[in-house]
Amino acid sequence: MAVRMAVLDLVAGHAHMDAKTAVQGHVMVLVRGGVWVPAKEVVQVVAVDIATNLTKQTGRSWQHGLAKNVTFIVTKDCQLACKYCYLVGKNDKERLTWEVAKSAIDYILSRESIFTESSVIWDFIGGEPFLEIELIDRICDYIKTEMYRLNHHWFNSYRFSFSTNGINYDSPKVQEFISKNRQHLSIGITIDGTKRKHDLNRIWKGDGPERGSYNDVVRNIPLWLQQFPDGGTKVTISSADIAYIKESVLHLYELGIKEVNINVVFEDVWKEGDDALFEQQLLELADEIIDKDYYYGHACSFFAEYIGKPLDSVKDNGNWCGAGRMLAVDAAGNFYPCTRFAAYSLRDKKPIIIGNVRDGIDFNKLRPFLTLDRITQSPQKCRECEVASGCAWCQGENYDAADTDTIFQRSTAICKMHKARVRANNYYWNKLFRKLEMEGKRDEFESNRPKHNSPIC
Amino acid sequence: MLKYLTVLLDDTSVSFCHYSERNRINPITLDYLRKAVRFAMLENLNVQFVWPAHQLPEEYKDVIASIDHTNIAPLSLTEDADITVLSMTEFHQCPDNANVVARITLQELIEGADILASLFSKANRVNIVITNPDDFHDNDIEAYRSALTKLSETIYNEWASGHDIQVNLLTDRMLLTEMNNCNAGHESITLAPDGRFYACPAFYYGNDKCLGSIDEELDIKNQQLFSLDYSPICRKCDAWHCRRCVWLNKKYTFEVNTPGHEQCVMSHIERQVARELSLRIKNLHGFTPGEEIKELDYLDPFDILQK
Ligand code: SF4
Ligand code: SF4
Ligand code: SF4
Repeated sequence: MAVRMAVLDLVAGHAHMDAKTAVQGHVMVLVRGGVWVPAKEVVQVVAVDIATNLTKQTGRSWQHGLAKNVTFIVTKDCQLACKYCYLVGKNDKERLTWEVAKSAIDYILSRESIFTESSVIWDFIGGEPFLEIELIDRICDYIKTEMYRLNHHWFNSYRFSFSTNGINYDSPKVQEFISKNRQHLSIGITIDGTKRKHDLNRIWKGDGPERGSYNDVVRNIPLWLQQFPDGGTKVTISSADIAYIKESVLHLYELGIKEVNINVVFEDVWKEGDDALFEQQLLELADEIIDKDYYYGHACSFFAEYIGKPLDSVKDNGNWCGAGRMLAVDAAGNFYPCTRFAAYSLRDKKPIIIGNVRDGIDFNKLRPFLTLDRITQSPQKCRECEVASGCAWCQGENYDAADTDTIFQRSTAICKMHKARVRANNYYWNKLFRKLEMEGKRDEFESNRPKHNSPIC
Repeated sequence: MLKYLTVLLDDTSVSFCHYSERNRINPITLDYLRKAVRFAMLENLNVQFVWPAHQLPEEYKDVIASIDHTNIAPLSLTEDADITVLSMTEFHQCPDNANVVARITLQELIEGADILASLFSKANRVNIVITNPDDFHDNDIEAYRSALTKLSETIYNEWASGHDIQVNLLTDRMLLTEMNNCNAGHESITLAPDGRFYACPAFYYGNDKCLGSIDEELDIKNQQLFSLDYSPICRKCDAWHCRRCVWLNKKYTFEVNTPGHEQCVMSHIERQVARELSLRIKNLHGFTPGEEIKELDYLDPFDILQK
């Protein structure tokens, strides 16, 4: 149970990027998917969630959390000017250079004794990463060549991972890159749910009348699903989005996406009555999923049996997110414990820089991240909470919102939303199990449960 | 819970710890001093005044005398000092039976442990403070161990001759039964000449954020993070004598509750040498002072947490 929760915890823990995006009101759907074929044992094709390493078919963390995540912030530029974009530092000047990227790769690959994880995910984010497809292609070629030349232990166990707005997904250069690296690739496309919702916020950059980008993105979804058929989605909810939860999830199902990973933003954006509205949306969604039998072929992570239970202060004391176990590098060549600690994604705090490509990692700066536990950062109410399981946090948001410059102060802005989710979740499982029992299908369901909620061990 | 208030009487008040004081005279105002005394009375705090080398006006002394207190002072004021701070050039002037802070650089300690050892026959207690702990690196481990071993030899000889000298780095761990750290921000707070509170003088001199002011209120946000229970590494540790310097923590790791590798390694070398010393003293006296110090196979508790 603990391991299963840890994986699901990671799902929510990595929501911060989208979370901030969603702050000012939208439903953002990050369509994630990918194909990774283990080079040695080509047994099955599995899709892997970019940020969480959560395999879509097995529900297992890719390499059981043994993968190192290295993130290149390749550009802070984007074709869109989404109204809610959290990247206050977005610009078209800070582009990762080849020299910085190469130095980072050289530093990482020449230190196998430090980076002992059995696998690696090379993650590329922006702005819009595919704006830098030529640089990315060069980086990926270099990584492959160097891993081979060095006979590196990652040579047979690596993936390239992307989070894109999907606009130029079908461009020849991106498609060429995909076919070249297909076996080691996962790609996420960001879409805001239904057209009316998407176009409300995700508009093209530039002067003149506002132009939404839904059509430019959604046209690429079939191609994406064709290339990554097990692709899952990630939806992040903020205050203004609550009313669109049901339609957004169902819309994604209609687009052919079968698994929706969804969570509420961690920021303190919730208004009076949001929890009731949220609960209502989830109840309506639960009814749709159950009444229309979506639960067989589709999944929505809002409904997870493990959430809403008390947590043991010793056994369930792990940290929620992977900050510190990841490594992000930006155009200046600085290293961060996660992109959320880079200046362009922080509202109120200084960035936490843990080294740079010239001097390497300052391991003292990683010590807080690697020793942080749930109890130390949690207020008393969370320590004693009866419904604590599944109540997530983002270390970056904790830091940004903290009263002092610390990562050890947990933000509990989602408290009432989590409690609402727990109530709706109870309803979902009670209703579903009763239905299955009445139909004599409980056993059948148990043996074919949507795998994303499966225990890991 | 707060127990101590440290009052810096001037920007040039002698440094009794890792940090450096300022050179320019800037005394605390009489108004702040009065408020500090009143605050300590109201909050039931023990007060420590940290003195500069220059004279303070008589009316300051009257206010200071109005509350029970401890004086931390430079050698020039040793007559009124409870704790006298000595720099290396002053070691030979150590007053008899004094409680002293001996400030020394890492290099001086490594190369000139003998000079430090000369204090041990005169003082009752010596708090050795390394003024540049950030210069310690893993390649200094053996040199540091060997310098401490030399000091422990002198301590042993003093104890053998009936003078049970206390030296923070080596005898405290023998005598303690639980953590006894600096506890800045948790048990003690500093009032600086600017009328503001800081966890300790080092935060003031380092231009760190203040924790409220004497004119308004003491406002220690996230105060729990200064305490042992909220330090995931230290609460698993038994280097009970360690200063657990929250200022160095902040410098090394950006977090007051997380020590850097170097502080842990230095404290564990001290612990190792203290262990050897305690075994020798056991042979000398027939009993071990305090509890037996167990042998450890690590120098940094972080390593065991990561296993
Ligand atoms: S934030 Fe609220 S729901 Fe979550 S663990 Fe804390 S008390 Fe429980
Ligand atoms: S925190 Fe304590 S040990 Fe560190 S410099 Fe301040 S007084 Fe000294
Ligand atoms: S040795 Fe390290 S872990 Fe132990 S008390 Fe000192 S600073 Fe903390």
